[in-house]
Amino acid sequence: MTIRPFSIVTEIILDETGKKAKGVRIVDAETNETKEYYAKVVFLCASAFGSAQILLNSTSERFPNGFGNDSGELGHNVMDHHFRLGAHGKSDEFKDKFYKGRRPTGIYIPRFRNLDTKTKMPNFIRGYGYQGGGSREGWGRYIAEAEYGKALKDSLSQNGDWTFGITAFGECLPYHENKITLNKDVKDIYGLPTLTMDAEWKTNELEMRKDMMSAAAEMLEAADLKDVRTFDYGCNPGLGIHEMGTARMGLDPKTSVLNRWNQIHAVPNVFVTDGAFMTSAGCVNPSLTYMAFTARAVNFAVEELKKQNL
Amino acid sequence: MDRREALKATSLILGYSLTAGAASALLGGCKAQTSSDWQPQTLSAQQSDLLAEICEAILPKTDTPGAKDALCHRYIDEMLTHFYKPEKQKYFLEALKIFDEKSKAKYSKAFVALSPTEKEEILEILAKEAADYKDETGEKPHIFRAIKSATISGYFTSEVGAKGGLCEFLPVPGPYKGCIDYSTVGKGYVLS
Ligand SMILES: Cc1cc2nc3c(=O)[nH]c(=O)nc-3n(C[C@H](O)[C@H](O)[C@H](O)COP(=O)(O)OP(=O)(O)OC[C@H]3O[C@@H](n4cnc5c(N)ncnc54)[C@H](O)[C@@H]3O)c2cc1C
Repeated sequence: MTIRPFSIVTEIILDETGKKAKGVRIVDAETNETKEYYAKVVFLCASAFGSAQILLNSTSERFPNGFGNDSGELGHNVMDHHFRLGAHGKSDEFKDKFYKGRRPTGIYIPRFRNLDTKTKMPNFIRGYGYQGGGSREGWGRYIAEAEYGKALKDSLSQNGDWTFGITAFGECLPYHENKITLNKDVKDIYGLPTLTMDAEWKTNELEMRKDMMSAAAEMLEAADLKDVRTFDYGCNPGLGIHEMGTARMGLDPKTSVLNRWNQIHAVPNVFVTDGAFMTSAGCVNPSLTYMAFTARAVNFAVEELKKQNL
Repeated sequence: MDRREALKATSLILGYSLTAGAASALLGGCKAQTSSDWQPQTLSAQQSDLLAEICEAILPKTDTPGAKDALCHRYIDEMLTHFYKPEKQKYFLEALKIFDEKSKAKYSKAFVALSPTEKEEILEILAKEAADYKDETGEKPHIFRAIKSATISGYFTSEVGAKGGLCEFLPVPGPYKGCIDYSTVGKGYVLS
């Protein structure tokens, strides 16, 4: 196997039949040379936005609006998780107990809304999960203004109460209008058009956020924590850094870019195996899902190559 | 989550009560410069000397290092220079004058010339003011609170303060014990 580093893929090259990719065109990041590499199969995994960028930039007579973009969905349905809100509280108990070092894990509360008729919510569909943990307050805690000098040092040397907090991560629905597009006027140093992002949360996310915050406080109060406070730092798409959905899968080539095996509907020897293929965002961290789908697509490609279908 | 966000989230969970300026400096990795030919960038030499005395009065040297050892005044100069917008810098420098005003009114001397007990008297007056002060926007904290908050974070993020023994220093990497008796440690932690 040869790995070619310093290679910026600018385009996927379509062959004469218009039904297969021939290979890729790259710019050498060190020499600025353009080169082409040919292959039977192309796996595109430049990240959800990176892959969409390359596909949008790969135009031809067959695909004037981007490689494999018969549906017009390429670059659309951008999703991300919305978070940065939840609740925290304190406990006066366990003052004699402590820990040492950094806790490598946290707690997770899986989704519990809209699972069945009993958990159906009136104002939003889908749901969210919580990530959180407990610790004792350290030197950054609130210490009365009146303390300074030796008394302040004494307070700082001791730990405060136990606190426990949870932060919600919510699902964002796929909306065609949430999109990334190429900006041909502003190119990066390799000559690739940059991306313009245009995405927003809509009513479902905003309604969900109200519940994400209040249910957090409700749980912590039920768990008998004191001084429970909610927080909402506000959140724009992008802050969740779980971007996905820009070349979605689907059974119908009219409404999706990829088929069930991550192949481009009209060009089956191109597989896209990153967050771009996601059809819905769920509310869990996404990378394991991307990896599982990638392994599955690779296995499929190998089988198809063996059968000489690719 | 990037580091900044991660810290923000933990700061909430841990109930940090830093002023907005001190928190952004802390999260942004603000560090005091330790070079021997250091010059303040935003503070004047005189303001820097004044601040060094105020910080030391807030966190004096005991059997553990004080704010001067930890170069907290340099940390604050760094914070003002890189983490404060011009209007907030102006507010801070203007508000700083109150230390000398109160000192002159009470002892006819500048703050730096006061004895340790006299300095404590002035801090007590200002601490009371700060406790009653309302900062609706979060943009204009009482100067005592702003300095105290930055002194504490400057102290614990400096090597001298972190390793000075006030709290127990926990370097990376290290072991993790999930449940131990508080008495076996007996003090709080500073994370590296
Ligand atoms: C700070 C942060 C924290 C995160 N935490 C979590 C977490 O806790 N759990 C979780 O599940 N997910 C997390 N994520 C999301 C996770 O990192 C991504 O989902 C995952 O890395 C995506 O993998 P990928 O291989 O699709 O893309 P990437 O890891 O982004 O890899 C894409 C690669 O393609 C290369 N590339 C791009 N364009 C080109 C081009 N034109 N030519 C050649 N090469 C190109 C890039 O250099 C890069 O190496 C986090 C993300 C961030 C930013």
